[in-house]
Amino acid sequence: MGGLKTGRPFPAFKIMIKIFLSLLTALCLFSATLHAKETITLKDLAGRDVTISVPVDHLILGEGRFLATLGILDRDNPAKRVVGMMGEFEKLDPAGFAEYVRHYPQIADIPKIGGNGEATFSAEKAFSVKPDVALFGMGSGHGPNDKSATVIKQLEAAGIPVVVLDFRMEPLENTPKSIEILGTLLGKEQQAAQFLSFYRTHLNNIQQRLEGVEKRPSVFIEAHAGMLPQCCRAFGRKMMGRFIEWAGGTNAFGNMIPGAVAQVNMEQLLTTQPDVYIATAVGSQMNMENAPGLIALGAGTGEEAAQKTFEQALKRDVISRLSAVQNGNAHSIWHHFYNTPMNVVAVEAMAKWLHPILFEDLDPNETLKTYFDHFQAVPLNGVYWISQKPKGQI
Amino acid sequence: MSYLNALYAPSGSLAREYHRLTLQRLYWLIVLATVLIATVLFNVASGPANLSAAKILTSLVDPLVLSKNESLIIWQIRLPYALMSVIVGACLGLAGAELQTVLNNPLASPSTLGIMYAATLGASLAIVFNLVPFGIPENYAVPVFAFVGAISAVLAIQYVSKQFGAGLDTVILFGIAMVFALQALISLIQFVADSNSLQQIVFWTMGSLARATWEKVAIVTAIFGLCLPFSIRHMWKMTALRGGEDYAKSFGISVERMRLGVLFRISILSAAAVAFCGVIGFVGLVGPHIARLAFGEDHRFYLPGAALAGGFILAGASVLSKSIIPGILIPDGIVTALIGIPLFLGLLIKQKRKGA
Repeated sequence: MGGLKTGRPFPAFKIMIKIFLSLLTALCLFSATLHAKETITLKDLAGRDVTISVPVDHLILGEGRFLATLGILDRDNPAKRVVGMMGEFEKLDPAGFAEYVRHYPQIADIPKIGGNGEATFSAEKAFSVKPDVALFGMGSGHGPNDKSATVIKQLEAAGIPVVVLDFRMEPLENTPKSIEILGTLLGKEQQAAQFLSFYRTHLNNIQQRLEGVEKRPSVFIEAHAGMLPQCCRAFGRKMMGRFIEWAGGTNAFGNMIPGAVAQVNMEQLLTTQPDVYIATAVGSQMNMENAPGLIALGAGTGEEAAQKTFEQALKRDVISRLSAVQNGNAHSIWHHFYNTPMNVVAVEAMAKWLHPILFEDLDPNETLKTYFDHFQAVPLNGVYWISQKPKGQI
Repeated sequence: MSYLNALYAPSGSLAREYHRLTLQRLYWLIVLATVLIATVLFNVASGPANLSAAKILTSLVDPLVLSKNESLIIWQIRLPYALMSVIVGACLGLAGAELQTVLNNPLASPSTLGIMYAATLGASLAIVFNLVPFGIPENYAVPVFAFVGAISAVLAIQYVSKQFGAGLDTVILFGIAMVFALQALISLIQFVADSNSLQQIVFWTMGSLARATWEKVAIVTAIFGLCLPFSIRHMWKMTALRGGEDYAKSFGISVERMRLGVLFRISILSAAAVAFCGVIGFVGLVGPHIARLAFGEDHRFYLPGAALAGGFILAGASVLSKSIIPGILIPDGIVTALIGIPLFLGLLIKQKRKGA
């Protein structure tokens, strides 16, 4: 009996210790997560002070195209923290979106908090997915943005901080700042720093070599080539027009266009005859049949399709009469470079077009490959720019 | 002299007054036409290429003074652009004038009955669903659909109105119902459109003459020419209608029948105008008002006056469109108001002063 008595407390003691230990572990884990979450105040790209506890686990995206940017930091799965996003990625760049869905099928199931355009944003849907933070694009017409005062107020009232990023309005100045903020938000400072070093190295290299270069070729950059029946719309100083200056050229319409894009007078083109013609491509191999007038570039588009559609676009009435086209100085570049950290690669490609001798040793294709190999969650699959095939004068 | 005046005053002065008025109106018609021609010439002579007017005139005799590039600029860019503005403006002006008469409504314009919106819907459908009707060149698909859209809208209004006697209220109310229904449908299409299509639709609705080519100028001119004889045939009847529906009926005019006929013609005119250039509002509303202020209700002068005024507004707008920022074209739909409103207000103030 005594033996039994002495034996009893032993298992009970064991259980107590077990409970104690598991409680301790739970407490440790709990305090660890408590400890890992840190409340900070940061200044976003719209100059707003945002107080937020980081790292964040649940994001909503005011632009679905931020997925590719998230891929720089969450390379294992760019969508793992995304609980809701706008639907514009699918509509603007169907081929690119398809590529992401192919690699991360769950992207197709991410709840949509709107379609394409600020007006389609549903605050109710956004609340229902319980995000920790909302990422908006500055000046975006495709989703809620820094000017969407009501939406921002509603989200803040619901305890969801809004952080404004920018890859569009001031692409080259704001991309590093945006990535830095994103690194802090996701707790991926190191990966962000690696990207920033890559970004700055490539951009600085171009800036340094261009210092003191007097000759800046004039460039006509046509927006959405082939989309409208008439010729032509050009980028002004904003958005992609800015790339021209960074690549060492002058935008032929830079001082004329007050907004982002405007219809140019064909007469002006034929009279001033810019040195270089660059068309932005909004088509892809996927929709070549449906939209035959567009230039195909981007994810999923092969060299052959790109060349074919580009040569076709060069045959348009006024374009074919441009001396830049007749002299073989015509190029086309993927339109969506205007809204991604990948913009540095576009600047490099353009710099080589504008100053082929100065940048003879530069290999933008290599940079593009590095970008995808080290900073993207999907592999490089497609041609992102194309040049006119060298041929005799017309 | 005073004796003669006193003797023949009752009948003679009235006839003379009428004669004087007719001559005066003819005179102003000629002035307006001259101003229009001057605007077109100025339009052709202006542009960023800095071609002197003298050089352009010489080139008419000796085409070789122009370089290949310069002749391209004059013949393929400036001329079609300038002429397109005139003919489209004339179509819209004439259509608006006739519409205001048969609907007895000074606010009527091709937008009122949904004709513009129907054209936009047709164009949007063609853009979004990539419709290319069999046997039609691809770049004509959108204009053809816009045209068909506009005509179908008017046919629908006609059909429904006929069931109810084609009275004034019926036509206007069905037209307005049509406007709202069409606007909703256009928004719906824009909602499902992908971004490229959406941009195309938005640009279409802004209206631009940059799409002008000789072929298109010829097509619109031909349609205008086809409609004109019918307008002339209805001239007196429409003048009578301005005295009131009962007054016109007392002359034996079948007002309802005429109304439907005129509506059909208007739909063709405005459809032709917008099919190639997109939505250009305002001209069809203000052109007729300018004509009415200058020429009164006599449709022999009012109709050509409205066509000329419409042509002038759009021609002036096209000059502004390319010269506000040289090198850039500002959508014509935006600029039309800038040129039309001062003209309209000027005439209005002048007339009010006279009246007072």
